[in-house]
Amino acid sequence: MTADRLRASLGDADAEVRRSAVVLLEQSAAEEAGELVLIALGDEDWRVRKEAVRVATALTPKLSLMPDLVAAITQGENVGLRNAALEVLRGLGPGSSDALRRALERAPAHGRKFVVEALGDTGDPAVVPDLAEASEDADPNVAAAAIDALARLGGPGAERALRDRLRAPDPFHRMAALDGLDRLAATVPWEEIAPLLGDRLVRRVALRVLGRTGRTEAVATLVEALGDGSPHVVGTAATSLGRLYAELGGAAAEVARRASVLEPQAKSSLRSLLASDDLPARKAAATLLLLARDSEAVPGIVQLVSEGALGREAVAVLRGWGTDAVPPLLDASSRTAGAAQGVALELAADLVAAPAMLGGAPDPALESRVREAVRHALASPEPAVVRAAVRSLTWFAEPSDAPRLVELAGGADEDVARAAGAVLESLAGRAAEAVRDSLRPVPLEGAAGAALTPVVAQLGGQEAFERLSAALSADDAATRRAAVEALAELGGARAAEHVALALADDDVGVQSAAARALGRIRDEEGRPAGADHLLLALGSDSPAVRAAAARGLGEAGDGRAVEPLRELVREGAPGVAVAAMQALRTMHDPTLGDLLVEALGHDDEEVVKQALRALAESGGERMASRLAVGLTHAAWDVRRLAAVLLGELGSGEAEQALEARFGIEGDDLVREAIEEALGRIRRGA
Amino acid sequence: MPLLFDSGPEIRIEEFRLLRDLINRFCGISFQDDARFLVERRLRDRLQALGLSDYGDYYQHLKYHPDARAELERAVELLTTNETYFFREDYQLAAFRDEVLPQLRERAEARGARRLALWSAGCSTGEEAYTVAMIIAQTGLFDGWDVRIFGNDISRRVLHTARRATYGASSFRAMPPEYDRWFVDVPEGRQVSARIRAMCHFGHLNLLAGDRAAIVGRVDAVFCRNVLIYFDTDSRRKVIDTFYDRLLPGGYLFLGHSESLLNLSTAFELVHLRKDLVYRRPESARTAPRRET
Repeated sequence: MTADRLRASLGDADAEVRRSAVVLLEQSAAEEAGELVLIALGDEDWRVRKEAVRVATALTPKLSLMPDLVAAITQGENVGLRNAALEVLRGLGPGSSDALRRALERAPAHGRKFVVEALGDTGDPAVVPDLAEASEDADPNVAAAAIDALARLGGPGAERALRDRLRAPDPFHRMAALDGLDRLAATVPWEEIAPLLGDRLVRRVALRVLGRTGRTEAVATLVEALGDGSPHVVGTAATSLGRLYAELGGAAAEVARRASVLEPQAKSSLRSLLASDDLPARKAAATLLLLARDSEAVPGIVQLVSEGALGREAVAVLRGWGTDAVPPLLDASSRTAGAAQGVALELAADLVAAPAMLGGAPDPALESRVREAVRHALASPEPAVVRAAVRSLTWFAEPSDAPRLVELAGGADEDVARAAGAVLESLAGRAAEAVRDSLRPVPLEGAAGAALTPVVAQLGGQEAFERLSAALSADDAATRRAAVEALAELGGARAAEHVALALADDDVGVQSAAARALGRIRDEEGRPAGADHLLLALGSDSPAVRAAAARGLGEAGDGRAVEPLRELVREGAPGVAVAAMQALRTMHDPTLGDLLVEALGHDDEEVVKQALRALAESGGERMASRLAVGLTHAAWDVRRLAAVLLGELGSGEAEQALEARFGIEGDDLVREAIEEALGRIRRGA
Repeated sequence: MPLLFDSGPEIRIEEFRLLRDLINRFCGISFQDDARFLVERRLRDRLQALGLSDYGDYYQHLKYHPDARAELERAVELLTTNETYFFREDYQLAAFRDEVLPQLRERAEARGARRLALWSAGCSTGEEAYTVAMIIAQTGLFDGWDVRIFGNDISRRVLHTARRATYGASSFRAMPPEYDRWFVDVPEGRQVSARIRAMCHFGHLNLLAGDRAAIVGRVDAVFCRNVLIYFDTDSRRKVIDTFYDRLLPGGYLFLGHSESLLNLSTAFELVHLRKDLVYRRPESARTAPRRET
């Protein structure tokens, strides 16, 4: 389209026509493209401006639009144009910082604030001195904009400048600086925050920042704030206390100590927080109330556990209550529904069973209440509750429960069926006859087949062998697969013969299970019983079966497998190569060397990771330099593993490679692994 | 014997990130690090079912096993919450009923077509699709027309519920009583009437599988409410592009109240209705290229 037609389209009354013209502008070779995109940046319709921002960002390096963009942010007539130009400059990053620094010197008074704002978006650490100076500008708007810009820029220089402003005479500037440090998640020394705590204006922000000090002194102030009348202040203080507790150390111990003696008013505020919509605050409130052993908070806590918002650490604190937690958990179980009800019930069963398990004194009355609740829950219409009840029966199942458990194992819910099977397995150890009698009339097929075959294997004997062999001909693949695994549990040469037949099953899953099982089965003398069949299975058409056979051969440890496994590493199918490499590692193949170097260049990162692990185990020459190759891999998980292995190796060469990578590594998990590895090497661990 | 609750393997941070990224590539759903325990707990039963010892093995299963795709769908099903109910965000539905439906009728008549097609994208258990169908039936504006509402989801389990069309009390928490007439009582709850069910069709479709979305055909409106919140920005853009492709010029896009197209697409225009703000594919954008920022 010609420049004239584009210009005409940009003046059209229909915004969609103007927007479409902007899109075409990007491909236009017209000399006037720069001028036209600037017109579009000032369009009255946001869609046209937004599209123009994208096009201007792409065109600026080619068309030298920088002076016009800087002029656009300092003009005062068209706000839409100014905001669009700011967005373009943001997209250009450090490329705009020189022009903006020059503009700061000569911009009109009303425009300097916007130049400062744009400087904060350059991402260029070189502009920190300019912003630091502007943060002390006589114009309070420019100073405030500079503080905000430093907070967006981040980095050590910006943090230092913001910490300087904590002593600013203007309280709004102090608050903005502290808020900026909080946004940067910066650690501010306690000594610099303490003087600000008496200032009402900055107190709430200060409470947030206190959570990152890691200092014991911060705890008292935060606990005191839990008694504040404002839910926002309570939420901020709780979140900071939760953070101090999570970071462990001395401050965590102080949080636990103070939480154990919380005032009733503070507990009440935390319970309200637990019922709010603010997830981080809810989690923090739950942690503090757990430490306070507040039984009224238990329903809210199990709700969070069921949502996956509270992890093992929180559950461990609840377990620390011992049987004191059981009555509130039972109460919570009756007041909640679905997954939360299930969590409460399962935890109550765990805790009431724990004293007996750990050699302590059981509480028969409490145990009786839990048993009753568990049995009642078996009839719940909610699958999550039934699952929890069945799992809880692991502790309480009696021989008379066997028929009901067999019935549950035949139900439609796969997880309930599996849980019922697991309980029956456990029960079979102490009430074999009752379980055997309940199982005898039930055919091993359909829904019950997969769940009950492990139970049959647990019972053992000739009857079990015959039933499991028969189950290899069941209609459904899930039962046949389970029968293969159960026969492997029985073991022996005859079991291996039957399982080997499953290598010819029409279902790939059953074939794969058979291959894995054959690797585990030992004959009556303890020798691998399935290696011959597994060597044949390596030639299967299915990559899944080849991979399973490779793993099986690794477990069987048969030396004849080494050469075929080496070929599988080279064959290219990633899943098979990974399995073959794992097998060779398991077999401690001493000739892996060249193959590993080859595998380090494999397309699939899982193969590369296996090669790195095998290299580390091989103890060969030039190991550090070979492992260091992994530090430059495109996949973060390969780089992370290489860092861990180099840390374990611990040589000077490893340290150098890690230091060099740390300077350029961008992934947080890899950086963390490098830091740990370097720490380990320097400690001489 | 160890305690039972949380007795399975712990998910390590690198296992979590690998699983998260795999799921993200599969369907665009995105999890932050704080979802680690959620992933651990919800997928734990799958490890047990598959006989796997840890989440690293589960990741390899999802990468290499012949059933990996089905297992990925299962994992997504377990990880996404699907709770919904009839007449959710009713102010938007009122705008649809009072302002959008009459316009759609006029436009269809101008085209000489007596056909109305709508898409409930990420329909979960079907309440939204049936809500829209009931509203259309209740207005009477389209009686005798060919009305088709297509609902899709990535979870086969929720589609099964949608097709069964039988719901418990929690699905009716916001339903106005005048719509009771479209339900019949059955032993398991209340079932959507045959007439409304006949207007709705459900299918298994990953919103990121752009080409496959062609099976939806061209539609007059898309409802995609509280679905995009699970997606990362790139995936949202792809999904929005798909909606643009499927919408007829002048067709409407309904998002959840906390969702917007800001920084996602400039291709839709914002329409100020009396009761709501909604997005629309511009009437004049028959051939214009699409772009996003």
